[in-house]
Amino acid sequence: MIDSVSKEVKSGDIPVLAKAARLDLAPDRLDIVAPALDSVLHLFDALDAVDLGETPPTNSFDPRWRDRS
Amino acid sequence: MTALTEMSLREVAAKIKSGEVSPVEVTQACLDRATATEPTLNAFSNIMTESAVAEAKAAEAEIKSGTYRGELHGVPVGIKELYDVAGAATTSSSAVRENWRAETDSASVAQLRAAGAVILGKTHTHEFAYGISTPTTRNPWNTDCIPGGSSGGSGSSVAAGSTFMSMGSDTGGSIRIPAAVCGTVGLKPTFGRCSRAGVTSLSWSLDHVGPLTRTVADAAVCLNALAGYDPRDPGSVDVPTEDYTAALGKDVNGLRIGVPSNYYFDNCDPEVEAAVRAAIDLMCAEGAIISEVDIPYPDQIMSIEFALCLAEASEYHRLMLRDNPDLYTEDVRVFLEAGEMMPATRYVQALRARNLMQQAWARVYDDIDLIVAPAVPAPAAKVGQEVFDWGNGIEEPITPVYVRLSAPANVTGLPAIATPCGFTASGLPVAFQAIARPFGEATAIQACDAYQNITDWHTLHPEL
Repeated sequence: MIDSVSKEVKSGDIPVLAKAARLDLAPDRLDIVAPALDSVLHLFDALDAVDLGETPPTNSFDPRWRDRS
Repeated sequence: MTALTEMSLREVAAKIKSGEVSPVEVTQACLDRATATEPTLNAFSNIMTESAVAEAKAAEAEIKSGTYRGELHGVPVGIKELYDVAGAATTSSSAVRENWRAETDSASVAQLRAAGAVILGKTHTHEFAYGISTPTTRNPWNTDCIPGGSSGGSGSSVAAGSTFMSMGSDTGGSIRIPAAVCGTVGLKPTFGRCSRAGVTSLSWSLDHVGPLTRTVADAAVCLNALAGYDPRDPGSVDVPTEDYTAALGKDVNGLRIGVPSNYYFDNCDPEVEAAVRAAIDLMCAEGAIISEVDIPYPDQIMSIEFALCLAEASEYHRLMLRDNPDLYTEDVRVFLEAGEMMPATRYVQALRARNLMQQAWARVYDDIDLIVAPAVPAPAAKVGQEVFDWGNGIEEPITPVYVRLSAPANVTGLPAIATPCGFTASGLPVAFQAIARPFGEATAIQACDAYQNITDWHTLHPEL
């Protein structure tokens, strides 16, 4: 069951997240993946400190057919 | 007399051009050097002896007939295992791709062949370039140490004298990290400057390709061959190239160098900091104008780097991870799995923050031409070492240690050159990096070449 109070990702959270990703994970993977995912999600929290306002993402779609003349 | 394999690319090229040595002699010297050092270093995934000798003979005949293509003609080079070389395996140093064979050359290999280079072999990468230690390989300066990564085989082969240049790729420092810890030069060009067509991707929005060499001048020669627009690479940018060797032999007088007042010297090995600051002092003494600069968004650099890399790497590997999860090494597999579970909104948030960071870095360059800072905050880690203890209560895992000073030039796409600038008391190389404006490779080459012209760190060789 997902712990909605703590921010820490625990092994019990992983099956639901893996199901959403359509990724079959063996039970022995849960304790391995949880701390890795927890560490990167905490790293991403620093993004919340930035006021992005109306800033668009850096990727953009170029409609030109670049591989044809 | 200096052994052939201890010469720089330009030195050996001059001897080939004059006929003093032949490409076959040079290639055989490199093969002999590899034979002698491989039992210790294991820098190569594939030494292509037969084809290399054939290519050297062809180069020799062509040069004798009066056609000299330039300084790469007849010079043996190494190619990172991520790059396609027609007819050879592109395993990415992974069991997952054990039987993956390339039918055509990657863009870089085709460019090097067109310049007459001899493909000596393929060099080991950390599996799929997703790591900084390259566990297959060892550092020529101390074989108890890692060669860095992910282009660890390229750094090791160039430092050992088995190649005069080896190609690397850099998503979070994978050219500059092995260059720094192996005592070679590592040039990461501007994003889009050199084509990535035919190179296995780690992260499309962060990947760069470039050379590891013994000197900055050698890197300029290689960049001349590699730079250019390629519509097959969606990241390629159609900006005119230039003759990068024109930046060689100048000085730093009047160049405006920014020295970071934050971020780059935080939790930095004292010996690394001392060597880098000594290099900056030397450039100042030679006429460079030094000023302090504040690095913008320091707390978000690694967040952006990893949010982009994790999501893109996990998508690239999505099917392979489902088909053959047990064939991945554990350290790669776990982050491919974790990357599948990060929210898509985090990825887009990182792309938006990257936009702000690009704008903020552009403002930093209003008053400077270059940033000079440590390439990596620590010398080569011991094999098996998991953390650096900074002595202030902070123990930091080795991956963020090596990535955090490289990542800014990946996130901003700016060109950067790692240049050797000393050794620790224990004999491990130390390097600074010079980071220039977009497509300002020539400025970085000018500064780093000028530094090498008044120092001799790049002329020292490991005893193997």
